[in-house]
Amino acid sequence: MNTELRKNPVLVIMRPTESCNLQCRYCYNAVSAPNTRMSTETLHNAIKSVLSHFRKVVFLWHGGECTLMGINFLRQALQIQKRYGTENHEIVNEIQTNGTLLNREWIDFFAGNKFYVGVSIDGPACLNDTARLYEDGRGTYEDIFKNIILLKESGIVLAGICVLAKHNIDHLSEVVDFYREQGIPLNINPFVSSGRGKVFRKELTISPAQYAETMIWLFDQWFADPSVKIYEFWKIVKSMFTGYNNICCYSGECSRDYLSICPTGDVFPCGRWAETQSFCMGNVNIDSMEQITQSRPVTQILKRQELIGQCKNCLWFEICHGGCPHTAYVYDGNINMPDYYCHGRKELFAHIYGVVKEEIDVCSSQNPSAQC
Amino acid sequence: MSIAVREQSGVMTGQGAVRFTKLSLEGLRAEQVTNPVLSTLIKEQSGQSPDKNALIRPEDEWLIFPD
Repeated sequence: MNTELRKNPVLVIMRPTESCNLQCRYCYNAVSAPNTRMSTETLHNAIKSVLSHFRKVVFLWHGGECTLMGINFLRQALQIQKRYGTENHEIVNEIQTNGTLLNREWIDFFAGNKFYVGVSIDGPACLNDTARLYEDGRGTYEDIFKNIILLKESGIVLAGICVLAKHNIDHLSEVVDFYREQGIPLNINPFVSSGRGKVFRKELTISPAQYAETMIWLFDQWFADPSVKIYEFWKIVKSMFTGYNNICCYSGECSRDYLSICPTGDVFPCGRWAETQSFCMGNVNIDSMEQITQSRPVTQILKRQELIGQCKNCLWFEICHGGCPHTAYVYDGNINMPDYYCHGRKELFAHIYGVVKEEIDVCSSQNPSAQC
Repeated sequence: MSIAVREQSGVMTGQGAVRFTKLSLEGLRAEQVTNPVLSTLIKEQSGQSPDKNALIRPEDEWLIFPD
């Protein structure tokens, strides 16, 4: 095993299956190997390879729907982590699930093994059930919500994801009220037209201006009352002080700090790239982690920030780096372009900066000893 | 909903690019501010450990994959 482990953390998006029991209309899920499930050998090689290279690792169990693999698959994964983890490693496990297949056994497993759990739900039933559907068209709200209650009762650290698209953009306050009432933090992700989402591109895509208008409105509510934790706002506010945002879409270094392992062992910069073979970084059954982390897609993405002309003189470059390379690729066919939501993000950043600065200035004027 | 786009000034970098001026909380104490977001930031900067109900917990500082 490599004795000089990389110190910076890595987030490994494990995609043991790309299948899902739902048919969400906006799903970006890219499929590299339909109907393939990760073998024990690939699982073993993936974990061994990651732990041979990185010291601080977040394994994010993702998909498709990871719970389709069954609980014994994850038990096996933990045994392999234990086998190859040393006292020098820090390992965290998270799972992102649609929440429909959970039961007491799963929840006890998560609680017993300190999993952080992410559940996707689009707010109350009237909103959730317009897009998050079973294959037969039934809504999923009832099943998800029942399991959210069980997760909360078990004291599991829980977070939610909501996709922002045309179907809910006018109802975001209801979505956020739902999360606030449930005491669940959330990420709000603007729709990206990949995977199944390509079919509904026209119906679901929002404009950068709509994105900005909605997020600015929401930020103002949140800044006055942050009782619901919205990760993106917190990270953007913080980045105004530090000049750095570690959300993958903003860091400019996603290909260095994140990787995604597909059912066959193919590795991509993240799950969004899984159907784009030219961005495959290698395979854990064949290539070493050194080879994978030095592959061409990694370099291409790292160099991107130097190549986007429009970003050269952007005030917000340090905290955005052109946004998500995959979103740029999906909408422009070229990663060396800014993210589709670029103009909206600029408006959002400018607004947040102005609001926070104004608040600091007011406090400083009331407290003359403060230097802002 | 209506928004007004705010114009911001920036600073010139060595490479000739203009970037925003980083904000600072220097000199402000948590009890001097009324805004809960700023108050949390000040507490975090001063090394006060966030409790279970804090806005941001240590695990939130790990890398974030939004999907």
